[in-house]
Amino acid sequence: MAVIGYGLAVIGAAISIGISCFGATTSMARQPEIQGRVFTTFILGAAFAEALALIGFVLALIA
Amino acid sequence: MNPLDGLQEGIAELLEELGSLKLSGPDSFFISQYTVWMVIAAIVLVIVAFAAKKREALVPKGRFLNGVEYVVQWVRDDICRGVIGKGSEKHLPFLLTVFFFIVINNLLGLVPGAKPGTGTISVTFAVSLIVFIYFNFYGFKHQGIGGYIKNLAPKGIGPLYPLVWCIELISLFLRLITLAVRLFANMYAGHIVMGVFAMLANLFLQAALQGAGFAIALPSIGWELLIIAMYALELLVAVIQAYVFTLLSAVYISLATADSH
Amino acid sequence: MKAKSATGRNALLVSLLASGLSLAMPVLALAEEGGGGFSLLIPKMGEFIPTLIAFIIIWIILAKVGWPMITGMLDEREKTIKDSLEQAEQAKIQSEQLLAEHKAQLDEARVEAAQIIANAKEAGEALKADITAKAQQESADMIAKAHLAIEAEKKAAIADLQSSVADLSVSVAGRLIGENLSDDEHLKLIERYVAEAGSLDAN
Repeated sequence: MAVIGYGLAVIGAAISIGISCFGATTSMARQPEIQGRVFTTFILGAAFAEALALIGFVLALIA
Repeated sequence: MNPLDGLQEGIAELLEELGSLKLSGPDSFFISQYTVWMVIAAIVLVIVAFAAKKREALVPKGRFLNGVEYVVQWVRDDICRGVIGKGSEKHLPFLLTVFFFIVINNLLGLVPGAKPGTGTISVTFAVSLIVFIYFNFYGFKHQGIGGYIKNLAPKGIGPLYPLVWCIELISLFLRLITLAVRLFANMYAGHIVMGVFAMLANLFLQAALQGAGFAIALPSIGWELLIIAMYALELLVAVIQAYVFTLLSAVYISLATADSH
Repeated sequence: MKAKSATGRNALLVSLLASGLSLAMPVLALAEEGGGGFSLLIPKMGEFIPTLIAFIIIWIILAKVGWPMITGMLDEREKTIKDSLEQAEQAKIQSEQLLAEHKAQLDEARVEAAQIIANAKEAGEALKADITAKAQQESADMIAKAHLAIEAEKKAAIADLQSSVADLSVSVAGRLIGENLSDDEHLKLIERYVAEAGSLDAN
């Protein structure tokens, strides 16, 4: 059960990371000169989204 | 004979091996293989830093020095200056230490047989605790204890303030956990995946050697190729996780020392 | 271009990590069955405390004697490169200025030389004209003088001739007529004739 719950939790994180990756690549393609800033922001956003998956991971181990 | 029969047993063994093994000391405070590798990584870090320092010259010579300097410059410009901005100079030594400590630990993990410190939650939690204390200390120092606590939630949200403040407080402590767990989970998962792939390659090869026919050894070639691909991925993950850890530390420091939250 | 593709790869990678994690999950679940589970997330003091100590020691050592040297050298190198670039820029500007100056000087010199040559030519022309004029003048003078001299000679010769003609005619007449003719009267007579003849001639 815990693993299934974790799998469900990861769906959200995967979607959000995918969306932020999409946004980052789109904006990088549109404006390559700010790709450094975009990449940093993307990593941050991905990290925050990933944090939710990590909480799920912790809960999966606890449960 | 089905070569996959041995998989369950092998995975249990692998997990046993990846857990903290008691090398010496009492049960509540035992030195494990991770402690040893963490100390090795620390020594490597000191050696690298001092070797770079010894070769330091106005005109850089050699790949080693150039490589170290490139990384130092990258951390300084991309992470430190890029995120913290004004007044970033005093945080640079800390961030450099964090980055190099983690990246060397991670890279040591790619040496077959090594059990790098970042493969256990203890080490990553220790580093993230130091980061947590560090940015909170600078937050208190910068804004005053009352100011820092008050500035956890943004002003001008009216009655929502207590709620947001509580959420921010929780997220503040979640930072401590997520920093540690992110690094640990990435490293641990990578080690497990590589271990399982290696085990699968081994199982198919052994089945072939035990007389199940030559054809059954073919999947092990595929697994070997997958291990090579995973190695490349793990190399990237090792650097990226160190980068993410340092970047997030820098972001937390910059949030804590920002003039207005 | 290379950096961009690397960034793209990195971007992809982070999203891959989530799937990597989920890939590892069944294995973790197996560990849970074996009683591993949550103990994975409990820091072990034997690893935790040495890490704290080691990290703090490394931090202090490197912050005191490691990184400042390296970053200081980076800054110094940056500054040196910037300075030398600026110097090179200045030297370039200077040399360009010098070059422009020299070019201007050269142009000036060229113009001057042309001027000098033109002046010299003019002077030469003038001199030539002068000399020619002088020579012409002189030759004209000489010719005039010569003319005068010739005229004088001619006059003298004519006078001489007149006198000698007179004498000759007198003596011839005296010879012809005899010797009784008084010299003076005859001379006067002949002179008159000659004068008449001369004036006739002159006319």
